[in-house]
Amino acid sequence: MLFRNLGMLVGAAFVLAACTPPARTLVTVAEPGQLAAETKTEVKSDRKATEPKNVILTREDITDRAYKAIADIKVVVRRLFLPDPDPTQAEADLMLKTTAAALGADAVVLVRYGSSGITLTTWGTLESQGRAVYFTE
Amino acid sequence: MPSISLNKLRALSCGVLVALAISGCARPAPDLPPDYGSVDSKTPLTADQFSAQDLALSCTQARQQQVELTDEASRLTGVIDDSKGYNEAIGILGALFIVPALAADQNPDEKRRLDEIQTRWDTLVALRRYKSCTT
Repeated sequence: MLFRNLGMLVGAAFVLAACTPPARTLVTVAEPGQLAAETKTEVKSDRKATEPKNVILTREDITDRAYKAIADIKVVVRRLFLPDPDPTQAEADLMLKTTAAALGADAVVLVRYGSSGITLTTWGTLESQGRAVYFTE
Repeated sequence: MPSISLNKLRALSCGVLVALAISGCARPAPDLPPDYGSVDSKTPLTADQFSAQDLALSCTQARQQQVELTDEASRLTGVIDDSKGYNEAIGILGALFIVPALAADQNPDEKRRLDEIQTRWDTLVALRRYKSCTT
């Protein structure tokens, strides 16, 4: 009995050691208008990366400067364990900016958020979406 | 074939109920509209995408409606946030004692209204672009 329990413990330790902790943030990037599509084509941007701190983030559209859309971005921030902090809009904003900057975007427009709440696998999930764009003038 | 006792089956059903009861607490972010804003947009805005009442709105009136929507969304988000602690407690109780958490507060009315607000917001944002209102 003792050996069996010990064996199970060692087995469990091996399994856990091989596991990497799941990410707190998940990011999906798709062609503009394609986030909800079943199959998403990979977004390739030939633009030089920008600085995340310089990326404008707005719930509005930008109408006083011409722009081109690069990609739609979806960010999911998850509270995986009970002691973890709740996901916040600031965290989602930071990830939107970082992802958009890597694509060479100057702004993320039409940003929207879901409502944070418990899901089947997390103690809190907050989703946000936005469209990464660059100014053409 | 291994037999499952009635108690185990009952506990399993309760666990499933707990999971189902709390799984719908998060509201996903509403989908983005088509890309009508790009200079090379394939889906530019046209007048027939707006109602006659909306087309009659001035830029200032559209902006005013956006302000009102923002206020209402903030209030509803506060109501949903207030339920978070309660739902968390229900989740913990469910996980510890496998009791049905049918009392989890999912705020369906507030969430539905927040989705409606986002839809209206998107219409007003598109209208302001169509009318060439300044940002």
